[in-house]
Amino acid sequence: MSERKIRRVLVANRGEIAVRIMATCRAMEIETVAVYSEADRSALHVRRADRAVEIGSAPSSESYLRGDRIIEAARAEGADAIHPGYGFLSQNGDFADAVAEAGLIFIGPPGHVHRTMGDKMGSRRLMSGSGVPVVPGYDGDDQSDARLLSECERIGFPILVKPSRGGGGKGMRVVRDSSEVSRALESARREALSAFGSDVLVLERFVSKPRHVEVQVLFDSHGNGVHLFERECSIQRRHQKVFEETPSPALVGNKELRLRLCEAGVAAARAAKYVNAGTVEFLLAPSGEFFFLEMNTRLQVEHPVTEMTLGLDLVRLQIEIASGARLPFAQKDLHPRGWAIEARLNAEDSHRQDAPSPGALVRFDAPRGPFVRCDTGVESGSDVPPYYDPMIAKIIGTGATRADALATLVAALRSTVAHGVATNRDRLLQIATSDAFRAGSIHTRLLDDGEISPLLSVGEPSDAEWIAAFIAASSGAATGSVETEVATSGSNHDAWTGVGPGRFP
Amino acid sequence: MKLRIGTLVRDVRRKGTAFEIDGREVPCRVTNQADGTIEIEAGAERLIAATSRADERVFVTSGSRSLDFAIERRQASSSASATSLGSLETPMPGRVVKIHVAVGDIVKRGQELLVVEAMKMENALIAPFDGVVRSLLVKTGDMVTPGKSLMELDEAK
Repeated sequence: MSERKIRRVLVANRGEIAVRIMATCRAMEIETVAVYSEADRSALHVRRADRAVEIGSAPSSESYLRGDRIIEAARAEGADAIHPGYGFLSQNGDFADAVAEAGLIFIGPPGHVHRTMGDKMGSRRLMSGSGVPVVPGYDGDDQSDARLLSECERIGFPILVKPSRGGGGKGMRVVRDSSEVSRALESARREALSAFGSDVLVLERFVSKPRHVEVQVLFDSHGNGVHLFERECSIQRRHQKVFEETPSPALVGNKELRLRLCEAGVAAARAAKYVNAGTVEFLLAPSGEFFFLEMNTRLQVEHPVTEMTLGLDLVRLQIEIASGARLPFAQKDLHPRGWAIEARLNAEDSHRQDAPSPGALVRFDAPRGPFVRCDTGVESGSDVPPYYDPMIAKIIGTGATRADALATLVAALRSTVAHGVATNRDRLLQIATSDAFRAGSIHTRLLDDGEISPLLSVGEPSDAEWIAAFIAASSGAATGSVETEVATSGSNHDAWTGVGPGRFP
Repeated sequence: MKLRIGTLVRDVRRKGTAFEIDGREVPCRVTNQADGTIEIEAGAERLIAATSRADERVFVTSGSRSLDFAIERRQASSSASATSLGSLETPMPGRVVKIHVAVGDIVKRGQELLVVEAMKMENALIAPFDGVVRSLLVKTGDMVTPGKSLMELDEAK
């Protein structure tokens, strides 16, 4: 493959990842084109780009998922490459192919790789054929309720029901016995169809108290591949990652297991004929056994922790690989240093079962300071629309040791201010300062099983807090909306409970 | 000024250089900085908080927690007069993806009534009490916003 210079990149995404990709483009002196929906007209990523194109109305199906409009915008604006970020079209093989057919460079793997690995069924089959261990389960074509029920009984309960397409825990359900199967299948299919456009499901044995450890890989288009070590993402809530770190506390004292796991990641990627940056996710059982979960054929949300410990810019490497360059290093050149921990700040209400909390972000103070990184797509005055992912920032603490990185992260969270929408900041602080997290003795069920207790309801404010509220209320700009209903039916909110992704009995 | 947090309401007033909370005098020292950061020493307590006001809401964030107050303008009028009719709203904007009940259905407390999808998450509306569905005000596919009633429920006697 000959090298093709990339001069202008269209970023087919929004929020923090669009802003982050544009930052690297700027450093590489590459021009940027933003695309945006009606709801994002004044969004930060639009203002950070050199050019911007409105591509549709607010729902992502009418904008950020409209590959045709995005390619059209890239052509109209003279872009020569498209970076898909994560989510949206990032793992859509047909989109990757369409980009290539339009004569543009897709910054990510080619379509066939997405189709093989983005499909949980196909990737399970490929991995078990390539000697990468997979969790016992069912990945067959017969999707009838009767067959799925009988497969559940063959594998043995509890069972994890997952959409074959997609990720992020959406549409996943744990089924504890056969009476729950049909309802779980129905809701998993509905959620999978709406989120990923396919209702094909796979079944897996549910591994108790596993850790989630993943391997970052990087392959160029000349067949050279390396791993960039592992990340541990065991702190999850309903299959959504909340904290991610590298190295894994479970592997740092076990060099042999760490090496085997990272090499399995490379083997998995090689089997898929992988090109560009990707992540191979594994379940690590308390026994030390590990199983292939899935491969994410894109840049991950949590890529910054890898960047901080290796001193590498993954977006830059993605762009260089996409333009045909060879990897600038070999495996033996890579030596991670220190520790990095990331926390995801979401616009959600920790006191109301993490219900999304869109609205006007009247104030946002991002944390600053040495050894702190904050990737965000918002600022004071931003709107958090209800249509998209609730994540508004990623806060990363780094340090020479895990304790140092955690102390930095806790201090960063304490200095983070988000007003106007509810956020999970206090919940993140509670988790980060818990004994289990400090000790690194974590697993994916820690939050959902209540081993780290839910956030306590807000107690009586202190005298100083009442007075601070009074001063702010007296000095704040009065907007004259005296009729604003302040005594809304609080009890009504208690009627709500988050059910997806994955509601467990 | 009356401030509310959750169900708690306190009357906070300035009194010279001190403050009063529900008539109780609280001596304190305040440094009011320009960027909305307020420093207060009240007794043994020292608070440094970032504050904002948006309409009738006030936000106070310290290193340990975030509080969301409301400015109470109205006299406490229609207080807890045990309503037998529940009008159920969505707390967040979203789209109705599933309705499990029909008008006239008898429902049990805790039963799933309908599902609203917001920010790619499914959120279930759960019956807050035993009752009968009096009316359904939305249909599958409708976009809904807070303040709009989705259904009405008569409480079972």
